[in-house]
Amino acid sequence: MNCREVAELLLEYVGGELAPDAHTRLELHLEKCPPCAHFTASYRLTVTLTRRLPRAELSPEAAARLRAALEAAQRGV
Amino acid sequence: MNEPETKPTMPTPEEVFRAHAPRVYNLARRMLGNDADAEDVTQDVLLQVVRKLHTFRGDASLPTWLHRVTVNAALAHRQKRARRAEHEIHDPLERFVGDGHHAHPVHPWSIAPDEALQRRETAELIGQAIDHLPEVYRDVYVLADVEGLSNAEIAELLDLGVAAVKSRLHRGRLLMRNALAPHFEEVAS
Repeated sequence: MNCREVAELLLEYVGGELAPDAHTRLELHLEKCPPCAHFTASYRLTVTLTRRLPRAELSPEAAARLRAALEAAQRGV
Repeated sequence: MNEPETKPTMPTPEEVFRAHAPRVYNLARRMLGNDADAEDVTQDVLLQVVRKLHTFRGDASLPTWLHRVTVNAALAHRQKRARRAEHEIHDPLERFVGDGHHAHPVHPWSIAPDEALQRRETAELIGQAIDHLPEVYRDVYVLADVEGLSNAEIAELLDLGVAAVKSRLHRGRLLMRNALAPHFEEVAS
C-alpha cells in the first residue's frame, strides 16, 4: 500500500468501515511512514474541529428582521 | 360527559424563533457561505414552520422534516441566484506523485481542538474554509460533519447514491484538511 492509497481509504479507516485485511495493511504503512501518520492524524482533527465548531450566529439585526417577519405572518399581514 | 375539545395552541412567533432559528440558520449559513442568503432561507423555513408546525405536534420526525425543508430551501435559493463562477476544482488526491508518495512535506499539527475553538479566530478560520469548499463537496460535508447526519440520510436528502455521498465527503474532508494545514502545522525548528 502506498501513500496515495492510504489517503484514498481514510474515510473508511476513520469511520471503522475498512475490511480487516486493508485495515491491517494501512496500519502497517502508518507505522513506517511518518508523513502518512501525520496526514491521518490531521484528517481526524479536521473532522473533530468541524464537529465541535460553534454555530454560526444570527446578527441582532437579522434576528429582529426574522422576528418581525414571523409576527407579520401570524397576524396574516 | 364528553371532555371539551381542546384546541392546540399555536406557538408564538418568539417560541418558533427560539426553538428553530439557531439551528436552521446554522445549516443554511454553512451550506450557502454568506449571511444574507442564509437569513433569506431561514425566514422561508420559519414561515413554513409557522404554517405547518401543528401537523408535527409531538411527532419525532420534526428534526428530519426541518433538515429536509432547510436543505431544499437552500438548494432552491442557490439555483435562483446568479450562479457564481466556481474556481476549477482540483482533486485533492492529485497531491501525490506518480509513485504514490506525498508531493509535499507533511508535518504534524499542533492544536488541541477544545482549546483552539474557544478562540474566535480559529472558529472563523474553519468557517471560512467551509465557505470556500466547492458546493458539490460543501453540501455533503456540512450535512455530515456539521449536522452529524448519516451517509444514508444525506443520500436521501440530496438524492444521491451512498457511494457518491462517501466520495464527496472524503474529498471535502481532504480539501478542508489541506486548507487548514498551513495554519495548524507545527513550524519546523
